[in-house]
Order: sequence, then C-alpha cells, then structure tokens
Amino acid sequence: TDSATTLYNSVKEVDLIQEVIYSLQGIEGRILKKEPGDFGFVIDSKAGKSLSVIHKSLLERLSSLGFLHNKLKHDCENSDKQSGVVGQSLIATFREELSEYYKTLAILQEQLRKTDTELTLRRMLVWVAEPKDRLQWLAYIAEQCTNKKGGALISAVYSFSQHGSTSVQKISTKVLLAVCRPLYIMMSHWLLDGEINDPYNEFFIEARNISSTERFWYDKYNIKVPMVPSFISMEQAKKILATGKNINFLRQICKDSNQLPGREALQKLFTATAPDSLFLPDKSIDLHSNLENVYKETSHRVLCMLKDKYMLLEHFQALRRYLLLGQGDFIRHLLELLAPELSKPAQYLYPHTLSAILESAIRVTNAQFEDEEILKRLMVEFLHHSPGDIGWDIFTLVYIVDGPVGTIFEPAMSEYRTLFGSLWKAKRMEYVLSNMRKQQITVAKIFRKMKVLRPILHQIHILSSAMIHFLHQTQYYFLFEVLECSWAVMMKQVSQAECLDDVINAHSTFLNSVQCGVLLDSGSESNRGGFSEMCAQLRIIYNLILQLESTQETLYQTALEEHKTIVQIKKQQKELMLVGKYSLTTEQERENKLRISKFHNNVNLLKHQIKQIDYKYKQFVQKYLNLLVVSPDQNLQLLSVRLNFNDYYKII
Amino acid sequence: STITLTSNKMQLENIPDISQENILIEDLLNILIGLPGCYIEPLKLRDQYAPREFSLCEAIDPSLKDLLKQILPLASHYSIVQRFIEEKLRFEFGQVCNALAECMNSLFIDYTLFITQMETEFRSGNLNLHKLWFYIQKNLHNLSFMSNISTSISKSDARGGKVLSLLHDHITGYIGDVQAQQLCLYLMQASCVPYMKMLGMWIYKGIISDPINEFLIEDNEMVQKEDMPIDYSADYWDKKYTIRRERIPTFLEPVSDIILRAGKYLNVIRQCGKSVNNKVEIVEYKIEQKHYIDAIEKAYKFASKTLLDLVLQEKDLLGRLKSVKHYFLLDQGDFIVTFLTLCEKELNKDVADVNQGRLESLLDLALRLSSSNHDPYKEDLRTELLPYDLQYQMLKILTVLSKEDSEYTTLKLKKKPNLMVIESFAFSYEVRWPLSLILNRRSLARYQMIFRHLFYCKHVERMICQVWRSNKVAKAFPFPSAKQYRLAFALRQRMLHCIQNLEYHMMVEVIEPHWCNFMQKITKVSNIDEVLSCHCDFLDSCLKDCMLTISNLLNTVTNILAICVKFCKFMQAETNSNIGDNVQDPEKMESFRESVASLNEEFSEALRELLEQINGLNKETSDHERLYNLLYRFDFNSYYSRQFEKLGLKKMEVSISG
Repeated sequence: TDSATTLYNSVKEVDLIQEVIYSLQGIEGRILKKEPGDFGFVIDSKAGKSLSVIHKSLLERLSSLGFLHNKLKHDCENSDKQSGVVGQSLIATFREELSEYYKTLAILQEQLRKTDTELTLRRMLVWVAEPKDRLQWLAYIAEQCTNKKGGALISAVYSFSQHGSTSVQKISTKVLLAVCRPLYIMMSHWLLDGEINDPYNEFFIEARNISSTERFWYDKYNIKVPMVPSFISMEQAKKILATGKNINFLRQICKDSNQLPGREALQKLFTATAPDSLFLPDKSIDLHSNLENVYKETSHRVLCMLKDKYMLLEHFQALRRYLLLGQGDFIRHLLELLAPELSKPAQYLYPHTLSAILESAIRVTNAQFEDEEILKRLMVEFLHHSPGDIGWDIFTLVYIVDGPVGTIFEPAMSEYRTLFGSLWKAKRMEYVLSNMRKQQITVAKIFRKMKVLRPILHQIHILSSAMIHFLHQTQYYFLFEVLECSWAVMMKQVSQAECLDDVINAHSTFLNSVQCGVLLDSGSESNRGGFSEMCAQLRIIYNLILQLESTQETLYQTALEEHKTIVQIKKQQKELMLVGKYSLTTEQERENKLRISKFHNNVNLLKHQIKQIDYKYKQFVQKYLNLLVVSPDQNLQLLSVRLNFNDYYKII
Repeated sequence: STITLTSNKMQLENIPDISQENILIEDLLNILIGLPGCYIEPLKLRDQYAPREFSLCEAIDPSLKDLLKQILPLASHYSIVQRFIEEKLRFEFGQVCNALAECMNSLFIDYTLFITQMETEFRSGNLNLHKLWFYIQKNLHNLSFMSNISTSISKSDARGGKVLSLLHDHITGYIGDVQAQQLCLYLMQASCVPYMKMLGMWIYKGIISDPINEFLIEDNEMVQKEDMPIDYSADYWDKKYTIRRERIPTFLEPVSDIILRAGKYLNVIRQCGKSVNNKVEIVEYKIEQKHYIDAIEKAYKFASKTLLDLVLQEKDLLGRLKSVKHYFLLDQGDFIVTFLTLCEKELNKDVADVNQGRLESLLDLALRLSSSNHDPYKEDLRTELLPYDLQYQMLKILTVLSKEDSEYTTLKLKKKPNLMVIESFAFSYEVRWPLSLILNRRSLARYQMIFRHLFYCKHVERMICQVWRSNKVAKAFPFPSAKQYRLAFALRQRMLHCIQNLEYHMMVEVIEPHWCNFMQKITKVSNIDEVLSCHCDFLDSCLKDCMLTISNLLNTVTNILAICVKFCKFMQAETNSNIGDNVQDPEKMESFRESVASLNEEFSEALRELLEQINGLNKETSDHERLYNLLYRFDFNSYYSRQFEKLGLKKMEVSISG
C-alpha cells in the first residue's frame, strides 16, 4: 500500500510531515512557503506541482496552524510597543503558551524520526487539534487587546470569559488571571498603604499634582473611567478610591502614623486570595464585602480624627457663631465699637486698630469663654477697596482654617465671606435704625415746643417704624427660619455621616440653603433672576434706610441749632428785661425773622426729602413683596405675609 | 492542479477493481474528514445549511459506486455538523450554543482519531470498503443524529433555553434508542453547564450574569430605585424581573415561577441593604427531574423565608398594617372625630379654595391631640385631594372591569364639575421600601376608597347630629308650633338610624371580621406572595361587603347620603331663618311642611330601593351573605316592610280602581 500512495506522489509523506512541522514553527520549507507580507503559508506552485489533491488539502489544513503561531509570535516580539505592566503580563502568558506548543511540536518531531513511525498527515490532524484551538483563541484575544492597556485591556480579556465553551473559559481565565495580577498588586498597595505605583498610567486611580494641601481632598485623587475593568462597578471603584484617599489623608495631612484599623485583615485577605477574586463572581462578593468593611473603618477613622483631634464640630460652631452672626452679644458689641471707625473713608482704616477693637469686643462678651484655639483664628480683613468706599463697605471678619480641617472649609471660605457681608449689612441696618429711634426719643422733649417740627417728626417716626418692622422681620427670617433650620438639618446629617464626603456634602448643602435663604444665590438656574432681583431690591431698601438716617441727622442738627438760638435769644431778652431795656431792636427783629424763615425753608426742604424717601421706600418694598409672593419657595411667601401682616402694602 | 486531476482520472479506467478500491479508500479517508479527494469531489453548497453532496468520477466501477454512495452520507453529516460548530462557537449565539458546539467539537476529535485508525488499518492492508462500511456504522448513527440536531437548531435559529428544550425533547423522545439517548444526554449535560451556572447565580444570589440574553429571567432596568417614581414598588414587583416565556427550557417550565420569585426575593433583600449569604451550589442536569427541581425548591424556600422574616420581623409589617388600618379604616374613633372637628370648616369648602398645607397642619394637630400620638408611624400620614369623587372613581373602575352594562353606567358617569373638599379628600400614606411592595399604590388606593366612603358617612352622621342639636330649641316651643316640626324630626331620626346602622355594618360586621380573618391568615403564610394575596383578598372582600363594588347598590347608597345632606342643609337654613320666632308665618310653614314631605318621600323611596336591591341579590351563592344582615338591621322591627306593604296595597288599590 505504501507504493500505492507513492505511485501518484513524487514526494514521500514523511517529507511532507517534516515540511508541516517546520511550518508549524514558522519556518519555510521546500514546498510550504511563507505568504509574502502575511503570516500564513502557501504551497509553492513549482514544488507542489506533483502533489495530489489529497495531500494538498491536508497540507493546507495543517499549515493554517502555522499562521496562528506566526501571528502570536509576532505579537510577542513586538511587545515593547505595548507599554505597561498589564500588557507585559499578557505577553508573558502568550510566551508560556507558545513554549507549551513547542513542546508538542518537539514530541511530533521525535515521533517522525522513529523508523517505524505511525505518524501520518491525518494523524497530525488529531495531534494539532487541541493546540490549534488554544492558539486560535489566544490570537483572538491578542487581536482584541491591540492598542489597549491597563483596565481597558483587562476588560477586553474579561469579555472572553463570557464565552460558553469551557475550553475558552479556561484559557481566557488563565490569561485574565495573569493580566489581573499587576492590577491586584496595585490595588493592594493602594488599599494598604495608599500608594500608587503605576509607571504606565494603567491603574484606575490617578494622583494629580495639587497646588495646595487644601485641595487635597477634592483634587488629588481621581478615577480614570476608561481604566476601570468592566467587572468592577463604578460604585465599587469609588469606594476603593475613597479608602486609599482616607489612608493618604490620615498619613499626609493628619500626620497620623498609627496602624490603620482593618489593615491587618485586609493584608491577610490579599495574601490569602489570588487575583481571580477580582472577577470570579462568588469570590468577588467576598472581596468587595471586605473592601466595604475597610472603607467603612477608614472613613470612620478619618471622621473620628477630625472630630476629636481637629475639633471639626467646634469649627462648625465657631463659623456659625462669628461669621454667621450666631453669637449675638459679641456681634452687637463689636458693631457698636466699630461703628465710629467704620464710618471713616476706607483709606483711613488701619488693620491694627480694628484688630484691637475685635480683641476688646471678645474680652467683654461671652466670646471670651471660647477655646483659645478658635479665637486665634478669628481675624479682621479688608476687602479690596475703590475710591469713595467707607469702612463699612470693606470690613469683613475672617476665620482662618488650615491643616486637615482646611480641606473641608477652604473652598467654602469665599461663600462664608459673602454670607457674612450680607448678614453684617442687615445687622448694621438694625443698628442704624435703633440708633435713630434712640435719638428720636431723646430729642422728643426738646422739640415738643417747636410746632413747626411736628409734621416732619411725625413723618419720620412713621417711616422709621415701618423700616424697623421690615428689618426685624427680615432679620428674623434670616436668622431663625433660614440659619437655624438649615443648621439643624446639617447637624443631623453630620451626626449620621459615615465618611468625610458625607460631612462635606452636608456642609455644602447647608451653605447652599443659607445662601438661597438670604437671597444671595438660588439653588437652581431657573429662578436665578428672581433671586438676584430680590437681593437688589433689598440693597436699595438698605440704602434708603441710610438716607433717612442722614436726613434725620441733618434735621436734628438744624433743629437743635435753632433751638439753641431761640433759648439764647430768650435768655438775652430776659436779661434785657431785667435791666429794663427793650428786648429787641428792629435790626434784631429783622434778623430773627430772616433766621426763622431760613429755618422754615430748611425744614421744608428736609420734609420734601423725607417724602421722597418715603415714596421710594414704599415703592421698593412693594416691588420686593411682589417678588416674594410669586417666588416658588413657600417660606418666602410666608415672609411676605409677615411683612405685610395688616395689608399695609398693596400686593398685586 | 486540474491537469493532474484529469490525468489521474484518465488513469483510473485502466485500473482493476481491487486497486480502484484502494485508491477510493484513500480518497474516502479525506472526504470523511471534510477534505477533497481525487475521484470524489464535493459539490458547491446550495445554501448555508444544506447537506453537502458529492460527485463521483464516472470511471468508478458501478458496484463500488453504490457502496460509496452508502458511505458518503457520513461525510455530508460531517460537513453539516462542522459548519454548525464553526458558526455556533461565535459569541453572538450565546453560551449554550457555544457549549454545545464545543462538546460536538470534542466528539469530532474522537471521530478524527477513528478515521486515523482506519488509515492505519488501511496502510497495513487490512481495509476494504466493506470493512470500512462495517466500522463506520456506529459513527454514522451518531453523526446523523448530531446533524439532525444541528439542522433543527439552525433552522429554528434556537438559542439559550430553546436549544435546551430541543435537546430535552430529543432525550425524552429517544428512550428506545439507547445509543442516541446517551449521546444526546452527553450533549445536553455539556450545554446545560453555562445555563445552570446562570440559574445558580440567580437562585442563590439573585444576580443575573447573562451577557447574551439567554436566561429565562430578564432584568428590565427601567428605573433605578434612587429616582423613586411613584409607582416604583408596584412596578418593581411586577415588571422589574420578568420571565421570558420563549426562553424557558421545557424541563424548567414547571418551576419557572419559583425560579423567578427566588431571585426576586433575594434582590429585594439586597435592596434593603442586607447581604445575601448563601452558598452557590452547582445545579446539574440529570434525566431524573427530581435532582434539579429539589435544588431549586430549596433555594426558593430559603429566599422566601429570609424575605418574609425581614418584612414581618424587622420591618414590622403587622405594626404598619395596624397603623394603616387605624387611619384608613377609622379603627379608633378619637382621632377621626378630632380631625373632623378641626377640619369641619375646611371640608365644606370648594376644592379650589382650600390650601392643602392647612389641611396638612390640621391633620398633624389631630394626630398629636388624639391617641394616635403614640403611633410610631404617624409621621407617614399625609393628606391628598383627589380630582374625582368616590362614586365616579368606583363606577369608572367597574366599567373597566365589566364591559356588559357599560351603556348603563356611562350614562351616570358624569364628573362633577366642582367638588367639595369632603368629596375629594383622602389620606395618603408614605411607605418605604420594602414594605411598599405590600402597601403599594394599588392597595393604598383601595384603602382610600374604603376610607372615603366611611369618612363621608361619618361626615353625614355629624351633620344630622348637628341638626338634632339645633332642633333642641324646639323643646321650648309651645305645643302647636312644636307640632309643625314633628314630621321633620321623625325624618331626621330615621336618617340617623339608617346612617348609623350603615356605619355599624361596615365597621363592625364587615371590616373587623375580615381583619381578624386576615390577621389569622398572615401568621400562617410562608412567603411574600401569599402575604400579598391575602392582603389583597382582605381589601377586596371589604370593598365588596361595603357595597362599593356593586354599582347599583353604590348608586343607591350615595343617593341616600345625598338626600341626607340635602335635608341637613335645608334644616340648617330653616333654623337660621325661622326657628326661634314663636309666631310663624303660616304660608312659610306650609312650604316647609311640603319640602319636608317631599324629602321624606325621596328618602323612603331610596331606602326601599336599597332594601329591594339587597333582597334581590343572588341568595344561592354565599357572596353577599353579610349584606343580608344589613337588611335586618335597617328594618329591625319590620317598620319599613310594614310601611311598604301598606304602600304597595295602596298602589294596588289605586291601580285596581284606576
């Protein structure tokens, strides 16, 4: 029978097998030549002329494995292009698989060398069936992984493990295990020590350079979304990020070098488990529940640290007391002491005088019992001033935060500044109005006899009363309904917080709601216009109050002067009468008349001014109320009801 | 190469049969593993799934040719299965197909090995075509079976569960043919592996890991819990996870329902923030169903028990239900009386004029003033103003339910243009996950229906009582003028009797017994679905026995209530204007008497209608058992029946004489 085969074939089967074995290793032979520019093999047209169809087809089928081999080998050799440790481990697995394959070829070669070899081309088919399957899937994987790195590459490999056939699962799991190893090591470094050891930017958490330590919490570490492997959900990734961030925060910012809670358990976990616990469903549940525990514990630790060592809650309290005017007696006293200074033009103010005033205000009020640590952070600062500004415009209190606590408060400081500005302004108005009222009472007795003043005084009284009502209600709304309520909500959230982010969120919602409440800023874009307009109305109303104050001031001055002169004249007259002279000369008489008419003129002028202020005030309050009524916030509607409790203003 | 081929063919004619046979065997060995031969050529395929055909060289000896033709079907089976394997190994055909293809592929390697054995035999000169025919018998059978399966799968484009059903049918269909059955079982077990893995993840962990949509349960990720739209809970229960009927493998059909529920329960548990810690076990396919069905049932029992414990013990379902009953079914009087007293003014306003915030704060006050202050769940009660009144709502529901007498009902289905608050008022209740599964929108709506009915009755009763109070003035009147009011007072008394008995019926004879029954049942339930169904039963029977679901009865009852309200309003108006003046205008008095008389008639008529309707209900079934009690209650001393008898006699007389 051997002759039967050779009868039609000029080439012996043994030689053909040899050719095939060469081609399987990527080496050209006499008949099987490499396809130019590609990895496959073709039968040389000249040498293969005498081959029968039977052999040709067998050769073609067998040499297709050579193509796969060449392709994989090519990938391995060009591995330097594919930077990254994950890519490296992928290539390493390919190499391993290839050497396994070479071993099979070696056995085949040995069999061929035996004299009584039973190896035929068809038998070869059985031999190579299994390696071919493997190489084929490896080649697919390699194809999917080209130009990918890190988590993306892992995701690509992971998708292969979703194939239904066990052999594919086996091989893809093997590759997956290899490519996950670097990730697993990086993760363990990150979770145990907060270190990122990632020369090729493959890890799904990146560290950035930050300008100041205050931005640490917000900007330092981030998730790189494309690098998150598909078997780790975004939520889990966030927890992993948070855990390492907590560790770093403790180490770098809090300088806390104590053993972290749960670290040992985690370390044990990492040493006990293999990287497959990342992606095998039942094992990954375990891993993630452990991670969850560590996350909770480190977060708790961070929170405790901030609360106990860095007095987080005390800082919250202090900010509310001093910057949001929570400590009434202190603020009131400070205002009284500062008032004369702040009325001066801005350029005549000096920080040291004001600091001294601040100090003395602290000394005499309840603020003196505050912790020294907190008091030393309270400072006076001037805003940037432009010509024409007076002290009131540029004065602000600041609270210095640094260190770990700074991470939470630093970004919010500008908001605190604006809030202080707005609340301080309202407070000042209250002060101004109460001063006016005080003056009114003190001078009332003196002016009782001057009939000409009656109508104008009446007008002033009514207007200032209206203003006082308005301001009291507004102040009440700001301090109680807005500040107290938001504060209570925040405190509840803070006490329930599980991690620092919860506290930060609670704080920012607090600030937001306060800002909304004092009409500085709106929560949503849609009604921003309404809010800023309300704020503008409020400003105008404040200005009108100040105008009224100065008008009253001038009025009282003129009136007092007049009063003085009258008293003087009367005294003179009395003296003259005693001596027995005529009390007035005609000249004096004329002078007197002139003075009186001038005074009347002045009073009339002021009356006119007050009327103007009154008119404007009503107009703007009306506008303000109209805005309040249509605002979507029910509390603001209620405020309008309170302001207009007896329907004094007409709301459209 | 064509040249060599033709030259070979030329040669064949000159070769004797024996040698021809050898050459042909060499060819066959190639053909049988899907490679071309010299004298047997594969023809082009007609389409992708068509069987491969071959052309034989003309020169072959005819008897050899016939022998070849006998063997060649093996090659065409090979070709079909080979194509099937190549196709089904692709990702998009799903894990089951992948696994099946892989299993077939491994059988193919064995088959190739068999061919090489034939080759060895051939090389050592021991093989002829007859022998070959003998050797391939077993493989021919197997391959033809496999090609059968492949064609049917390819043709029906089956994936996932359908493939498994097909294989399962083959297994049960080939009981007689042991070899085929064994082969099929082998294929089945291999292709079941990925599916059973998914099943295991689902019934033990509640996780669906199904990248190519093969599993019988589908996760409709329509809404996230965080968004929490209003109907989330009901939707979650009914729609979040659904069975895709067409994907169920037939052998899992009987347990598909409990498969769905097992995973669903686990997911609910997980949504509550609890971890599900039971081990994933491997479920295997066996010929005996018992094996996997037992495993599934065990997993189901675990899940349902855990969830039930969670809901009953941890989330205090019973306490919740009691609290809901307290508010919606007016279980303790003091709260609702306080509330009604506080809200009296508001309730008589038009819906458009009322501020819901005000109602809300009054409700809050009532809660804190009454015994409900000790209810831990009182914060969850809210008020709601619905845009339709109860009668409209019920009729609408009933029309949807029964299409038959829709003409009759549509006539009456007119939405009132402007409602009073009392007509549109209802409580609502905030329920949190996972209790919202049981107290879902639908059941709360039923609670609301009963509540509105009871609340309205209560309101009418209070109105009548108020009339009674203002009527007390009449005591001071001298006898003749007091006499004028007698008829009105009698009517008031009858109305009060009627309303109070109606209330008594609903509260004591309907709701309480049903509630007790329900409480008894709920202690014996074994899973959440049973809780749901017995809760649903409770509400349904309450609705039915409160006469809310029988449209003509409901109409009559509403009518009676409306007459009462009319009467009360009339009396109040009269009181404000008339009573108090001792001397009355006789003309006015006359008109007063007339109005009262007409109201009296209306009321009697309506009540008679009600009694007749109840009487006319089907007595054969036990459906309306409780309603007959009402009959005796209204007519406890045969007052009405006697009166109606008289009336009937009179009418008869009139008709006879007329």
